[in-house]
Amino acid sequence: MTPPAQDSTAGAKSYLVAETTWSSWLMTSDHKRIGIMFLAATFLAMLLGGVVALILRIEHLTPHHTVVDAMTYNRLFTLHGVIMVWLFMIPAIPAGLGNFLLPLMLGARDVAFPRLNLLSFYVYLLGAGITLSAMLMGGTDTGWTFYTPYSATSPTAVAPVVAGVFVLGISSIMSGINFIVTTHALRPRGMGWFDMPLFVWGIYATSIIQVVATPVLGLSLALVVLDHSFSWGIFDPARGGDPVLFEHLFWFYSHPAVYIMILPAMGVISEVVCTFSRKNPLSYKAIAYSSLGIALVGFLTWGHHLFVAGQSAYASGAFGIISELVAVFSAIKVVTWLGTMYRGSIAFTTPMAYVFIFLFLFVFGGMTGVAQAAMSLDVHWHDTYFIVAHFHFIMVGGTLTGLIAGLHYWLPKITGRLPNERVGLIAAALVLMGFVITFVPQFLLGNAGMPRRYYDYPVRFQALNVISTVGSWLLSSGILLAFGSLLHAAFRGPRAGSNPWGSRSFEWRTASPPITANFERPLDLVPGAYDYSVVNPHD
Amino acid sequence: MSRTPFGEQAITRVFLGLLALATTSLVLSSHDLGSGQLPVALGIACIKATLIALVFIGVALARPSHIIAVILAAVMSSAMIGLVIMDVMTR
Amino acid sequence: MTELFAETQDGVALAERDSLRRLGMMVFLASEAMLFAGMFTLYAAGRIRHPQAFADGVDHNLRWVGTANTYVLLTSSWCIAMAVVRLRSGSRRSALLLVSATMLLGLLFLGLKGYEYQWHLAEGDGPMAVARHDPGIALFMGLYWLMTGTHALHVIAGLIFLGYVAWRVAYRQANDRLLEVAAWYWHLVDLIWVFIWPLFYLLGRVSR
Ligand SMILES: [Cu+2]
Repeated sequence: MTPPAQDSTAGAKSYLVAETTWSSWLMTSDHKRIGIMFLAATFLAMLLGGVVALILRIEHLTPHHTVVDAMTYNRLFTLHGVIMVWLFMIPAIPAGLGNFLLPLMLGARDVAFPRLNLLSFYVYLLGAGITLSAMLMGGTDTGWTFYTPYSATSPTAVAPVVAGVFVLGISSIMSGINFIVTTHALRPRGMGWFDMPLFVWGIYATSIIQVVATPVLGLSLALVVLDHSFSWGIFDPARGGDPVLFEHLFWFYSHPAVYIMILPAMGVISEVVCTFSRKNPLSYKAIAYSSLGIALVGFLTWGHHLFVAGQSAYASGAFGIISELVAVFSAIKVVTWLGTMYRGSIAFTTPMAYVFIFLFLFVFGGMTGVAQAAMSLDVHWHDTYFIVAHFHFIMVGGTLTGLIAGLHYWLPKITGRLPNERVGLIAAALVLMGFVITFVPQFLLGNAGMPRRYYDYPVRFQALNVISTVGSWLLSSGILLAFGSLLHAAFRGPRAGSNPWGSRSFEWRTASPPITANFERPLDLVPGAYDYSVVNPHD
Repeated sequence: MSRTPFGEQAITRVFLGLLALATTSLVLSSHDLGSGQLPVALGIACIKATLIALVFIGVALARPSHIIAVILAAVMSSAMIGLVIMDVMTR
Repeated sequence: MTELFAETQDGVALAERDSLRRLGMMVFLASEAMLFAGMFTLYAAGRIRHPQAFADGVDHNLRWVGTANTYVLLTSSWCIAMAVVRLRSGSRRSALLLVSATMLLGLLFLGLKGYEYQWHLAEGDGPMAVARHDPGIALFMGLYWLMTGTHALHVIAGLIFLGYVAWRVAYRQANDRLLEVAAWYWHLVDLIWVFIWPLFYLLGRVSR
């Protein structure tokens, strides 16, 4: 897929050129190649979901019919949500970048179960195939949340779409188990938990959520199919069932799923901040423990999605209070990153530009999240565009900027070539402007009362909708430019050398791109992954 | 697992304990314990489950760091059941 | 299958190397437990809302089958735990006998379960007929088919796993560690049944 780059280490060839047949990719058990295949697949998913998003925004250029009819609109917003959540954001950083980097950062040869890793990729493809083919068969109009009782009665193709997502969940669990075992058992002698690069903490916390929460998603989806196909009525009030229980089970997974998306992105940010500030993190343990804290507390907050669903006021109160706690851990992270930069010698590179965009989107989106977790405010904003804007800022913005930052930062590791700084910075500026212009109007629209998932809107909302649509064009051109430039650099960029950023982190202590076995000699753990106080003997 | 695994004696003792607990549960189920019926039956079930997990699956001998996921599953499933019950009871 | 769970050939000295498969199985069991925890959550909510209907549903069920199966599974768990100990101490023959006993008990469990399912079907209470019941009973029967059915699928998976491991042990291709993780899976199946038994077979109306 990527042409050879010269290996600085003598002897063994890089993993890219060691074998070049198609089957050497498709049947590989090399975590680096599997990671690249995951990145490619999730990238295609992002393109597809992005095209759908553009159609949705174009539809909202006018209050009534613009380009698609109402039924198609319903199916398209479902398609957009399903693709972006399960085909793109959940697997992109953990299964893509995480797969590539985890063994390298631990000085290991591969993940714990290399073949299970490959199977996880094919199960992902199978799930994606089922989901997308169901979408071609007419798709479904329930929204990505599949709320009952509507999803149990919708005449659209609910069952196959849900079945596809179920299969994707199996892939997610497989990767999670693999990464947990890898982190525990494949660290070299002498590398304690607090010597690991911070990205590993992000992946580890994410894997825990994947393993513990995903089965509950699978259960809730299976029950939707049983309700839909056999009229079991477990969630149907007319048959003695309780639709609120679906929301309980669904959000028991889907709230923590937000952290499946954002925790790996936070891991990327930690790595980039330390490398380009040339400093050790203000507090390693604060970043590591807050990852775990977010993962744990994040499990207990799901009820904030049920404030207007008929949940009891006591439960809502409890869930609201616990939800606010997540902000504490998030704030610890932000403060630690800023403290790391403080008095560092900051190199303002493209990955750093995305770090600043991440911080802006994360803090701004996070503040609106703190407001939403208060029941009284949520009742006003619930199911409006305010929510849409909130989660696009924090969840999509966080994941996407984390991913692009990581791809720029590790492109030399993956391909041995350097990204183009100027194009990268221009794309970053477009992404920032795009995000602000697309989603700030949506905050205003939601606050003014425009509901989400509605085909029509009153004429008085048109101006803000047009601005938002124009913003979506800026945003997508920024993303396309960023990925186009990365792809170009992967094939044609200048050679990078083994450690172009002068990072101390362990994955840079071998050739870039690495040999198939990752390391020619056992990983040397001195100096530490963030020790910039000494001259790096590995440079 | 860092310590010596459970031997035949320990396993058989636990098995006999499990049989005794199951029989207790069965006998009690035909006696009217009033509102205690459900808590007693589930309490016995919890004891049995704990024995199976600790001795048969060997959780008691595993390294603490290796059972993080198990502990988390125990905590989170309790939280899920507990918080949902709280919602249903106070609605 | 072992191919699939092949451990990485890592030349590096490992800090915590014990058995990757053991840790992997432990994590997988946690994941499986969460699947059933979701179902128990649904049961709890349903029982709170429809206490009488759930008690009636339990009383209608075949208590002796559920009870017999409880003792069958507990005994099978003892057999497989003993098999691991025997294989560890080197007596492959008695280990294989114990694994066979475990599998026979597993088949007996499935046979009794099949009898019970047949009985429900004969009454017209099959999984396709859940919607015909009154609301509370429908929920109970839906959860009955869901939870016992999912559990039975796990029993079948456990039997396949044990059969495969026994075959490997018989041909001296596997050690006690592989048998141990298979045994752990079997114990989990037993552990889940420990809760299903009272909830679907014991906790009816007491005054009958
Ligand atoms: Cu949430």
